[in-house]
Amino acid sequence: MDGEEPKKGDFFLSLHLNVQTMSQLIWIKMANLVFELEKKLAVQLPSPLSSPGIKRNIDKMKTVLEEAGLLSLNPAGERYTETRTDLEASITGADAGDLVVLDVIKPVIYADQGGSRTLIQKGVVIVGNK
Amino acid sequence: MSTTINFAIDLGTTNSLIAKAGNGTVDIFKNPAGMKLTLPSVVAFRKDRILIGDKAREYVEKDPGNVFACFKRKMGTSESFFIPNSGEFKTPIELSSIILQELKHFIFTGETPESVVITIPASFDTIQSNATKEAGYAAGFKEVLLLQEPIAASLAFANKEGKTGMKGQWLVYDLGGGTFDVALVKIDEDEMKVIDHEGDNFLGGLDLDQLMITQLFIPFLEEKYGVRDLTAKMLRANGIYNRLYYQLLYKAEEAKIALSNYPTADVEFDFTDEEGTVQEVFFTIDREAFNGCIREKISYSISFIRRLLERNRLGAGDIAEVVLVGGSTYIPLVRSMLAAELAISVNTSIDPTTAVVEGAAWYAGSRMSRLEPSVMKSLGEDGASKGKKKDAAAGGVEVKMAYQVNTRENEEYFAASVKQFPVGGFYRIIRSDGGFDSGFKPVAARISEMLVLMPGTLNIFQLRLYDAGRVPLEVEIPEINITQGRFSVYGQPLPNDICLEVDDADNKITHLEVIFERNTILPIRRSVTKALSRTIVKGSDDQLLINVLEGSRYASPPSNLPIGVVAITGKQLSTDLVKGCDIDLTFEISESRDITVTAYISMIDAEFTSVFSPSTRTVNIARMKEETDYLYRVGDRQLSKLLAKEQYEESAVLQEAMKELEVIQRELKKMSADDVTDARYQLDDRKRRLAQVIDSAEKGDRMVLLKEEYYAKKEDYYEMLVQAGDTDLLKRFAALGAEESEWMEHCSPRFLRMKIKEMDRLSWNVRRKDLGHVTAIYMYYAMKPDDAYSNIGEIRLLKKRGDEALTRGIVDEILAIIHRMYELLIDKNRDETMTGTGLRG
Repeated sequence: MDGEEPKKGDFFLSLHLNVQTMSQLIWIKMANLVFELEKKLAVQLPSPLSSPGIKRNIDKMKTVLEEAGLLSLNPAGERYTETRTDLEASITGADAGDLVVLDVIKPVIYADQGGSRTLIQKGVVIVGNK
Repeated sequence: MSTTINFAIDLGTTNSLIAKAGNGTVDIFKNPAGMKLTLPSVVAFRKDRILIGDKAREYVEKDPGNVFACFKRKMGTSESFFIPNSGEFKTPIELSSIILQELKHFIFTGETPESVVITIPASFDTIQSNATKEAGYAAGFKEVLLLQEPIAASLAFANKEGKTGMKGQWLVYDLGGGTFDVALVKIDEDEMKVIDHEGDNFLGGLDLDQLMITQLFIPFLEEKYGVRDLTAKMLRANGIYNRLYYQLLYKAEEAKIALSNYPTADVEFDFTDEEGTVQEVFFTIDREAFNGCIREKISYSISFIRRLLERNRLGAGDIAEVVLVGGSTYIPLVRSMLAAELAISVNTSIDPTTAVVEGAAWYAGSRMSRLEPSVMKSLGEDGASKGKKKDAAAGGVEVKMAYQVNTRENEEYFAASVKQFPVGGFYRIIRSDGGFDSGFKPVAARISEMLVLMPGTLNIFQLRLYDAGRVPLEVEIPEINITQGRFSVYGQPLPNDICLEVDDADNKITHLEVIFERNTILPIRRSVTKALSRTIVKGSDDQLLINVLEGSRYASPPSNLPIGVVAITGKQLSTDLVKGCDIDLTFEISESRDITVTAYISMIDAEFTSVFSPSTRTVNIARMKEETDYLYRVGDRQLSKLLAKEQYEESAVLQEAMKELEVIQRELKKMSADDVTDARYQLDDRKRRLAQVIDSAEKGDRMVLLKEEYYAKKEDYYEMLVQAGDTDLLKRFAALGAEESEWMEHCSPRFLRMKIKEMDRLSWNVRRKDLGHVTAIYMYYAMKPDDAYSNIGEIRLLKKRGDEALTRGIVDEILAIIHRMYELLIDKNRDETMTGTGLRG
């Protein structure tokens, strides 16, 4: 018996999801690059306001990422606990006392689709005592 | 009636996976925290909680006494591990069962499988195999089937290649994260068997990363930055370079993956040296250098194959192919050395990281479960099944929770009292977006936890209770909802969408674009870049309008509340603003609801800022005049329609509204642009109310027709695009219909018209090549009387030439004629034209 043809609605849905998934990987790469760029500029420029043009461009890039449904967060300086599944941590020094995020190699990225948020990239961080 | 098993688990030494077969495909489930396919096979018994997977792996080196990895190697031994933190002993079976249970949490479909296929290495003896089975039962499965990993991988390949693949005998080369196995597999009368195997439990991808660090990274860093004895300094726990070590581990893995796909890889990172200077490191590694440092290890792995072949008195000619399994087999050198040194063809047709679980799932999908569902059901009714036991265990459990619903803190204290809690049981709290997991914690009459919150948003957590065997209990516990963020003085999120009015140049109307969605928590900031839709001449009265409105994004702009307008007139400009130039707009709403709009025009390097607050509403008189004129035209047209249909009752309401509009129009004409009274606000309120009347009068009637047009076109264009086979356009077309169900019921006719136009535009490239379609357009213009065109002589000639062109059937020729006919058309239905905002939508 021949199978039923897929309904048009299903086709639209699956097509839409595929489009999102494929482009999402590229957007994640872009989010990582924007993060690295910002990190480098923070080291080289005395203050973010010393070049409003650069800051404006970085902000624009972040806006574009948000429009693509990605929320990129930099956890630098935040308290680290073992319950934080949004971070993939390497722990330096002794595992004692209050740990904080000392260095961020990759940012935390959430995807926002239809109002529901999902962690799609764990932040790769180095944690330790201050 | 029995069913197939379907579920399969690859219980690996370093990583584990879970998959399900069904409807002719295999789905591999992802970890809800981070969406990774693999779960590291590591369990950590921290002071007050049990962590599993990625989180547990972080503590392997820091807390080795309480963290357990690679316990698969100890399966079937009498060894048990002492846990200093709890004073208990755990067997490898118990640890494996924890991993198996955790994998069950990956199943997002809500199913709780009772039967499963679990894979085991070819080297596992009967005791080790039985120990794996036992772990499966301890994890709550009632039926456990074992399958050897090389067989599972072979099934995945066989399935990929159809029945013709996998003939005679072949090798399965499995180089994973930390272990290496090679097996000789044979097919004999449709039965697959592992004939012999070899392996090394301490060879894998991690060893290759280490080689890269010691042979490539460290010599480079020592030479370039003059650091001596870097290895020793990096490995010192509190040393200055300890951070660098972890960074290098990550970078080495990244470079290894890049070198599997490209001939070179860039390594880029910063580190702080002993003087406290931040050093920016950048260097390139080529595949040759990488191959140089791992060649010996790969050669070593091949020596196992030689041994295996010699022992079985086989030559290369006796082996059909080498099947590759394990993430490290992505490395090109592995593939080329295997092919070159063994002279056996290498099969790389399937994803080596998931081959084992995929093959196991295919197997599970073909094996009938021996559990009788009917028996299960009756057992359940007797109260002896797991499900019933769960209910019994959960019976009487009552949970009362206490926490702050709104907070400004990044972490919030959560407490709950649990009445009649299961003795020896656990609880676990998980954030719905995957960013927080409490791990398993022992349940008591009072439980508490610091919940880590995502800033500026609603955080949803789920508390679940488990029995002593970590089987979830069916207790109804409401979600924990905590909103993190600084609240405005009004103590509420945005009550309506905040939108920007933009031009739809094709339709000669304006529409709304949402800037901040309803329910967003204040303060908030967002930037958008828009292009100028028309040139604004220096010194002219023409103005660029940044009109911010509050109300539904699907409504028409005049019916929403204007909360702020920034008008940039030609008089303020030092040079012309050319159509198409970019304008960066930044919108900010403070906690006290002040709205700041900043427009930066890069072309003239000028910034315009305006701050509005709800108490000082801004109404632009020129804009209001334009809007009332537009509304009048729309209302007038609608009124004629109603009167023609003799719908006097409806037309009376509209007539009233039109009269009032005329009054507003008169008042506006009298008003100067700098009027200081509050008359403009009163007029604006009246205008908005009338806009709603006209909108709804137009809406009911037009919407039915527009919806019909929308759906009919959607179907036609879809068929047309499918026939044309343009996948790119199809994707864009599908994206256009996204969230259709959400907006269709609430949108304004303008919005729907805009959607139809978008579809028209998208499909035009296909439609313009379709003779039938082009003919229909031509006929539309040809049927119009000659006096509808500005040049009767030319239109007659065009119609004659058009009729001839139709007989020839040349699409481009007919199109050229249509274009000219359109140009000559007197009434191009431009009665809805308005100047607009100047911002392209």
